[in-house]
Amino acid sequence: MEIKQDKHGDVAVLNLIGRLDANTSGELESILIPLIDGGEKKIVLDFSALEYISSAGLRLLLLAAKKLRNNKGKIVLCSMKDFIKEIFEISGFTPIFKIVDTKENALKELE
Amino acid sequence: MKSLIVHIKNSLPEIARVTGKFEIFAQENKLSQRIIYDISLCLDEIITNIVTYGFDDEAEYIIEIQFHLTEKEIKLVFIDYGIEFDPEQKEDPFHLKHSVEERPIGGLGIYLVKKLMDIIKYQRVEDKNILTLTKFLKKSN
Repeated sequence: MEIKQDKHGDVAVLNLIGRLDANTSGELESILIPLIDGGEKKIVLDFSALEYISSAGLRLLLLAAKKLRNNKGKIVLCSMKDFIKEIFEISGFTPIFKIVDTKENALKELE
Repeated sequence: MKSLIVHIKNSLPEIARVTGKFEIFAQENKLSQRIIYDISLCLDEIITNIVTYGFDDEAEYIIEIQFHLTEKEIKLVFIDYGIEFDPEQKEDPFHLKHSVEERPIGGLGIYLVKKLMDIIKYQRVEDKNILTLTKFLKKSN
């Protein structure tokens, strides 16, 4: 997978491109977890170019959400494809994450 | 019935290889994007499980994956020579209702497979694990 990193004011935006699975979740982990441990409190994950997520990817997101909650931070997910949204629903992840349609709305959530 | 048989080594990067072969097979047989997604996810979860927990040494093993497609259903058969593992015996994660703080990290892969597939059948035959997953193809798929 490819990860593009961007900053909008005090919000870190990660654009995830490709597949988030057992084989690639380590790549996201090596960027996302140091961001949170380094004190980043507002994070947007842009899913518009994410084609696929497996349980390994979901586990990583859960770990990030737990760490952020401990730091009183917040993570917002945006532009999720229908297939992926359904996996979130089946997994019971929908209530845990704030999920919005567009990046603009994600940034508004964190204002 | 149309079939595809793929042999892979017990390593995680092999998942992309089998998923790629399945995608070509699926497109040739005009399966929907939805079915391709669900099957790819199950391939990923099951093979990750076999590779991660199936072997207690560093040796190389071969895992066989068969795809059998009819008008009514697609069947996946996983054959490996690893440690006995029956996913039917694995409890569903009742922690799904828990909050972020309480929720344990893990147990989700097999749960997703059970939700996405229609029939799961496990057999231990001599020193082989044979896991068969069936997904019915509905017209809307």
